[in-house]
Amino acid sequence: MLCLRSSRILVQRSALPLVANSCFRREFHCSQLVQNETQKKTEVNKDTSDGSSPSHPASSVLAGTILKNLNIKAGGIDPVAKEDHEYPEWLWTLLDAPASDTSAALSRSRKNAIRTSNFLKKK
Amino acid sequence: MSTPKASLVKLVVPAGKAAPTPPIGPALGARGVKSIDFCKEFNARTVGYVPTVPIPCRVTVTPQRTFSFTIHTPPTSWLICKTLDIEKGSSSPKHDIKGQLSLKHVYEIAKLKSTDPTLKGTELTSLCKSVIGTAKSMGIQVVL
Repeated sequence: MLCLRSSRILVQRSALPLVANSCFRREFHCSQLVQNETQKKTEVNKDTSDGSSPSHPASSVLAGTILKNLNIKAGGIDPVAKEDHEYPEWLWTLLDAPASDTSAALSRSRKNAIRTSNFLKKK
Repeated sequence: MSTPKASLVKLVVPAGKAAPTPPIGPALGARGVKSIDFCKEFNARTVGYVPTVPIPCRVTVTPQRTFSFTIHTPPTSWLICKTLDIEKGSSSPKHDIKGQLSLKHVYEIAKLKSTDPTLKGTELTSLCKSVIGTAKSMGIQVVL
């Protein structure tokens, strides 16, 4: 889409070669800025409309909760829970079951099959 | 007489509270190490820790009866128990759930563990997974 825009501008400008290139560039720059801003706005809107980060529901531990007794250094204080978005993204994926096509998921299903067949064979 | 190799002694000692009494005394004394010396050095090294936090340490005793030791981070199971105010883990993990641990707790514990000398190379993701595994084996449910 951007290419079309730029080519359109080029076509317009070619009629007036003496008009400074800087004018053309400035215009292009502004339009790009506006485009970036609108993109950012839509991203921000997307985030807030979900209520939390789009990838996971809110953590059970609210920000500001003191994580008890996890301080082992003398004279230090217990760590305080931060906001959800301040933690790395991968943290929230740790509890997910592995995707069905990965080797981890396949080995898990295989092990479960062995366990059930052993259970059935028991009595 | 063949020269004996350097032997390794694994101990878990409360920080700042090493004393020549058992279990440290006999464990080191049997290998010819003066436990008083070890206690002095251990207490000096663990001055920066909250007192009575269990510190695993590995003492290497040379045939010449000199020793050196490394200090590690407290056991993960102990950290989990302390955070959740639980005395012990569950005796039947999957059936008897003792408490709930949040992923934020897991993250902080893993961050603590990353300072351990033996775990220096491991990624934080792997450390978090280990902590989750320890919690599961204790009968602690890990939640978001």
